[in-house]
Amino acid sequence: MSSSLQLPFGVMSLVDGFWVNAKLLRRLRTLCVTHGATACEVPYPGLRLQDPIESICTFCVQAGILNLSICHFFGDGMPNPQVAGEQEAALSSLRKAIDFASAVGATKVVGPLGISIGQPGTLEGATAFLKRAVTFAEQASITLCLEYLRPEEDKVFLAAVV
Amino acid sequence: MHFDTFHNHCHGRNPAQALRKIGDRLGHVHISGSERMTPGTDKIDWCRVRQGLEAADYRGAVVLELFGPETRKAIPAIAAGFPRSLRCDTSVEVTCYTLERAGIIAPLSE
Repeated sequence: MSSSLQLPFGVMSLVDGFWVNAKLLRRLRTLCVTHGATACEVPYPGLRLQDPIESICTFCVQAGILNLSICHFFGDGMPNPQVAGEQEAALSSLRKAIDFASAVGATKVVGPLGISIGQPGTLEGATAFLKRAVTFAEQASITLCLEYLRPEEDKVFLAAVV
Repeated sequence: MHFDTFHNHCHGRNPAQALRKIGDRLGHVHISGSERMTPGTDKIDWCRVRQGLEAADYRGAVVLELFGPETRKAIPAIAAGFPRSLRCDTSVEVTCYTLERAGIIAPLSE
């Protein structure tokens, strides 16, 4: 076998529960330190902390996290991108996740599209949605990483972002 | 682009080929076993994942997406679909061992 890539690794907070509260962060810190994880990922919708920015920053320092990512659906739930109100709500939600990522020193917001690809007209709507989201992300120096769950989402990403 | 080993396996794609195709657009990687099982106890060929990561010249972190028992309680759909579960620390340990053996992450002793 060739030599090891020796990539850094991390854990998602989901390993120990969905809701990111103070108790979970304590357990996660122990887990990261014990196993030598230097990366971590937390779901923005799962945050249940009094001061999320301060808590996550403190956790990263104490756990030795060098690479933090925030996960969030690119679209909150399953918005219909053809419905203006739903698209605006999804963009607003994603923008909050981007701003949070920037505030805690993360460089990436990652996640699936969360839009019902395959419905008539949604490919165009999703593309427009992503183009607007990328504008927010660029302003905050955050990279959006689209998780493909279905082949159609590859096409959306390639058309919108690359 | 964000690559997830579980979803890729659902599509029946060879991870080495998929990652090679993504190439320098690869920005994030989730490690999760087939049927959301712990890597090493599942059906994914982790050496192929390594080949793909190398072909894509990926240097970022790989993130273990493991659903421990507490998460399965909080999200019943996960528990219903993927009933097998290890304790979270055991699951991380087994996954790290699997990724070390496949040459993806460095041995912890180094």
